[in-house]
Parts: sequence; C-alpha cells; structure tokens
Amino acid sequence: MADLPSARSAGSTPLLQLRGVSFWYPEVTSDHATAPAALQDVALSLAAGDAVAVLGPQGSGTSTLCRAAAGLLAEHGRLTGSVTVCDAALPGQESAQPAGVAPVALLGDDPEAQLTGMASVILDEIQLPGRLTGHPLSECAARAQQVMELLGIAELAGRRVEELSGGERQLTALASLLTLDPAVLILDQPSLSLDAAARARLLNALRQHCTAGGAVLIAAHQWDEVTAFCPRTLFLEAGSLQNASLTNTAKRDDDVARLLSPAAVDDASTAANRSSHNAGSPTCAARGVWDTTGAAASPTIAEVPVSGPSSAPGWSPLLQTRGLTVVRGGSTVLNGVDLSLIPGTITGVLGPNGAGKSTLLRAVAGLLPNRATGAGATTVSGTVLGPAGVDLTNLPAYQRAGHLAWVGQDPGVQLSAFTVEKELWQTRRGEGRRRRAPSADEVAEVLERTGLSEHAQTHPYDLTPAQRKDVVIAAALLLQPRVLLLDEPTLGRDGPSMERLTRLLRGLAHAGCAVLLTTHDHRWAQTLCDTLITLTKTPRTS
Amino acid sequence: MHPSTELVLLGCALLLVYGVASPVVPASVLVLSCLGAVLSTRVRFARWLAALVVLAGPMLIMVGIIQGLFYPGEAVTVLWQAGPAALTVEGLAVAAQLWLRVAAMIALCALLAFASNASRVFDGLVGLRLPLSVAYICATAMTLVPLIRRRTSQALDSRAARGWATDRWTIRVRLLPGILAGLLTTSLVQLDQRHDALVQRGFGRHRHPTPARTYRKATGERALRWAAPVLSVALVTASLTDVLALPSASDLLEVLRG
Repeated sequence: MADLPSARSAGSTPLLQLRGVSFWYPEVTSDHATAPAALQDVALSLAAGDAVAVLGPQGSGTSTLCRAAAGLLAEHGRLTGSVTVCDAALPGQESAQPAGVAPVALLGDDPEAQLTGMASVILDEIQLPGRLTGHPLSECAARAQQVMELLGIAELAGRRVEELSGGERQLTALASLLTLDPAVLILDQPSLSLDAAARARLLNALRQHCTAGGAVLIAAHQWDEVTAFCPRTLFLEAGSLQNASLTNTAKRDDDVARLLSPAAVDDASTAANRSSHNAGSPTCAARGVWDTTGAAASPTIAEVPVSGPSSAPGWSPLLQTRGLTVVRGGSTVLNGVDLSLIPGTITGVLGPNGAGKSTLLRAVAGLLPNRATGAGATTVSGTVLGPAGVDLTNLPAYQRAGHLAWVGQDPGVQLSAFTVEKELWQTRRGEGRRRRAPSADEVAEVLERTGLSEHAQTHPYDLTPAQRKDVVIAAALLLQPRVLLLDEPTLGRDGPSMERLTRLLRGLAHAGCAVLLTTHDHRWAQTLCDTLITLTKTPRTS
Repeated sequence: MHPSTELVLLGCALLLVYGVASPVVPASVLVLSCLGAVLSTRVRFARWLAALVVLAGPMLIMVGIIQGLFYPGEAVTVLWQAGPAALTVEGLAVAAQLWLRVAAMIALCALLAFASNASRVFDGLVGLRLPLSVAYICATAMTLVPLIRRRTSQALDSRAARGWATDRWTIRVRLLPGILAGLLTTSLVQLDQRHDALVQRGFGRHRHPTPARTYRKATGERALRWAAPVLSVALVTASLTDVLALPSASDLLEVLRG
C-alpha cells in the first residue's frame, strides 16, 4: 500500500523507546501483599533498522514486555515509566500517536487469539487492517497479495479461517499486520508452530522490514533461527533486563544466508542438519532459554518413508497403522500411512505446516469420525491396531483411550475445569462400567512428574500455554497408556521445561511405552527420537 | 442487495411481526423466509430448516402445552377437555400468535445469518452509520454460533480422549455444565484477545472503514432503505388505531371451525 502513512523517521531517532518501565498486574494475594513487578525498570531503545531479541524463561515477563511496548497494558495493571514510538507516546499516555499512523504492531504468542473473528476467509482477514484504516479495496487487495507472497501463503487466500493449522494461522496474523507497514514490529514467540521453510520466509520478511527502515523486537523462550537473526540479544530475568547480552552479527548473516537458500525453503529438514556453531548456546542454557539451533547429540536421522514400517523383528508393536488415509473436503490429507511403534521407542513426525501431522494423531486416536456430507466431509480408511494387535479401527475414541492417550496441539480447548486438580479428576480409566476417576495419590504423582504440583489449585487459564499443555499431558498420563500421542509438545517451552519434558518421555519409553510426537524442533527430535518420519504436503485436489 | 438494505428490511419485518396483532403478518414472513431459503444460492435449505426446527420446535411444544391446554381465562370456548387440561379456541389463538411471531423471527434471522457473514454484517451496520464498536459487536456475534459449536466439539473430543463415552446423551448432559463453564472462560479470554488483535489492526483509527466488497449503488435500494421503515411504522400505527383491520388468530380459528 504505497500511500499508507509511515511513522518511520530517518536518522538515529529511536523508533521505540522504553524508559524505566515497570509494571504490576493487579494480583490479589491472600495477605494483601503487593504483587511482584512483572517488569522492573526496563530500558530499551530500537532505532530504524534495529532488530533486538529478548529471551527469558517462562514467567520472566517476555510477553508482558511485548504488550507494554505495544501499548496494550494500560488497562491491565499499573504501568510506570514511559513508552514512546516515533517520538510520540502510545495511546493512553500524553501526546498520543496521531490517528491514522501505524506506529507499532504486535503479533502475540497464541495463534488462536491472533485472528479477529471479523473474516471468514484468509484474504478478508489479511485485507482487514487496510480496510479499517480507510484505504481503497483495490489497494488493500494488492498489499495483501504482496505480503502473502512474501510469507509464502498466497495459496491460502481462499481458505476458511477455521481450516488453518497453527503455523498457517500465525503466518496469516503476521501477514495481516504487515499490510499496515508498521514502524516497529513486535513478535512474541514468532516461530512458534512454524516449519523451517516458513521460518525462512519469516526471516526474509523481517530483513525487508529492517532494510526499509523499520525495527523489530522479538521475545521468546527459545533461541532459534528467528532470534538468531537479531544482531542484539538481551536476557530478561524476573522482569529485569540483564546486563549480559549477545551480539550475533556474524552468526546472523550465516544463519540467514543459509536459511534463505532455495534448498532451505524446499527442504524442511535442512534446519535439522544445520551447523552446530552457536554463539548463544551456553548463555542460553544458563538463562533458562531453550536452544533449538545446536547440533544434535545423536546426529543420525532415521528418515523413514511413511509407507515403510519401522518395526524390528521380535518385538510386538504397540501401535500399527496400515494404509491410513484421510480425505477431508475432497482433499487427501493422509495417503496410505503405514506405521509401526514398538515398545520403548519414541517416534517423531516431522513435516511442513499443513502436512497432516495433527491429522495423523487425531486419526489414530479415533477423533476423526467419518462424516459424509457438508463442507467438512471427512473419510478415514485403513486399519489401526493397538497393543497386542487389538483392532482399534472401528472403536470410538473413548474405547481407544484404554490403549492410547492423545494430547492435542492447542491445550486451551482441551481444558474446562476451574483448577488444574479438578481437570485431572475428569479422566476416566478402565473398561465399560468399571471406568473410574483417578485416585488422589495418582493425581499428586502426575502433578509432580509434570512439574505442576504448586499449580494444583490454579485456574488453567492463569498458566502459560506450555504449562497448560503440561496439564493435558498429566491428564493423558492418568490413563496409564501404552502409547502416548503428543501433538507439538515443545511450543512455548523454556530450557527447564524442555528438559522436564525430555525426562518424562524418556521415562515413559524406559517403562516400555511407545511415544508418537509431532514437532518442528528438529534438533530436539534428533536427540530424543529413535525414529523420525517426515510427512510431505499432499497437493490439494480441491 | 446491499447489506445495509438487508438489515433495514430485517428490522422492518421484525417491527411488523411484533407490531401488528394478526397472525397474517408473521405467517407471511415465515412463508417468505422459506421461499428465500429455497431460492437463495447462499443458503442451504436443509441447514436453514434444521435451525428453524431446533430453535422454534421446543417453543411450539411449550406454548402448545401452556397456552393451548391451560389457558387461564374463564369465558372460553372449549374444544376438548380432560381433567384440568382443556383445549380452548382462545388458548390456541394465543399459542398460534406467540409461536408464529417467534418462528418468523427465527426464520428471518437464520436466513440472514446463513446468507451473510461477519464482514457483510459489519459493512451493513457501518453503512447505516452505527458506531464502530456496536457494528463490531453485532458482526462478531455472527461468528459466535459456529465458534461455540466448534469449541464444544473440541471439548467433547478432549473428554472422549480421556475415556468418556461422549457418543451417549446421558454422558453429554453430565459433562455439559463443565464444558459450558470452560466455554464461558474461553469466550471471555478470547474476547479480550480479539479486541487487542483488532486494535493492532487499526480498529477505530478511521471513522468509515472500507467495505469488504464493492457493492452496487442502486438508487432504488437507497429509496427502499428510507421508504421501508416509514411504511412499516405507518402500518403498525394503522393496525394499532384499527385503521388496518387484519384478522386476529381467534377470527381465523372461528373461520376454520366453520
């Protein structure tokens, strides 16, 4: 949109400046004590062309910092200090930014919450900011097309919003924000749910943004290619920016060059095989940040075609699929998947966004019922065999739950109780009328294993997304499954949380269970999994 | 048709349905809605009919029992009696009038909802010069039903994966309070997050957002948008002052009885 008002200023005037910013959420404690500050005396300045990454563990205040910088905290607690964008205070403060200018845009960390609900199809969603700011429809459409191509999602233009995968949702939200051409782009865990090719395209977009005189602020719990793009990395600890920082200029150029190569875009597994050189790794580990970029401890990647079973002779598989095919809305999502999981193994499913990883797990769990009519018509065919060869194919999900447990991608929609403990009481184990709730000891034990003991009485929505996922994992463990199906368990996790998850899964495997998980963290998958499977995207037939 | 015109006609039809004390109006609206659902290329008739049956069906049973069998008046014409239950002409007249009004409203709103979407409704309301915040609330309300349906389905999937036989109605009813409580929390959190997402996209920066589509500017439609409310108010006034004498439900029942 050529004539969109630009809030960018030339020269070294900061585009975004935080001076002595502190923030307190209005927490009510039992002893009426003052809640600790979520941000403490934060000072940060971004000039045109700057890209800064702020890393910290869960609960360190990275998301709060993003919201403060975007001017979204004023009504949610007490904010002191000042936030200025392009030399003007953000709305709610004195000298607020004039209307019509797009000074700052925030992409939040929850893909589910980044879309507006004002549009049914993707193109409408991406055009919306231009329309809301009064630009002609033709300009909005042209700009939307431009950013969709930049982010590689042009093919999604006509798709319905509810059909998108988590990564596609994230890219759609980002494309929508980019149409406004904001001076400062704030991204909270932007590579969450993105495959390697999508991350490469995101880097390309960020580089263009900085080259054009914009600035980028990225907050994350994980060090990856996207945070490595930033020349400056700062660490946040309990709401305070630490003195230690990283300067990543050399690394950034290497990473960006490598990731933007055509091979990287074409081959989603390239990221998993990249160089082990990582300036940030030791510092990240010490700061509780998970590093996804280092070399794998066990670099062999067992690239198994989806049609080739991986069972070893002499072992009775805990889970087998034969010719598992899913056709949804006339499109083949999975095409004849043969899979075999033996006891004591962890199998990782890799693949680009929209390749059908979640669909595979849902089909195995029995959560994709055949529906012949309507826009969401789904046909599932093939066989699914459980432990000891039990035929699960025609069993409903609740009967399969006696053999396998499923943990979906978005934990928010899987939780409905008012406390973590009550959520866990909602699990039912056993057969037929003998189904029973777990005992108090069992609940206490899984809370301990998943690091949730101190949150037993917390509302699930007061937890971080990664902790919410832990609640769902805890509920799955209460089923005492022989097979655990985990959809994107690494999203939003910091270092300690990843280590706990790794220990938990290894423990399950050691106890003779089989784990089938999907992930975009190739390095973690390489170190953890015994077998890796890559799903490729099936071209849509309609 | 421009979405603003559709909304004006909807408002006028509802005014007539509730403002004119005759079953002729709601019955006509019901028939016209049915025709619209059959002829529209944007609406699946089966879906529209299912919505009508699900939403207006229970109401028909309720008013049939309460008004049709237990009408409280004394000067009544009894058609059939069994103990305290009596089928009366007056009770049937009230039940028919009440149900036809509700059914006509549901039929018309369902027709508009299925033929439209959030963008279109937003454009229509902004075109009528309503405040942006009101237009936003009404437009996103359009997405609530599919959203709640999707969320409920996801919550049931989650419970099924934890061993609950969610294909049984007894289990569903048992789980419903918990699921609804969760849905309420999710909706409140999501409302707040969606507001933030909209602010990030420039909501409120411009008084007149650009419509999502280029709508045809017909002079006739513009005239209709003014004429329809005037005509509706005139008809309601005429009906209330007995200038327009349409048959009441009792009159029609008497005719039917011969």
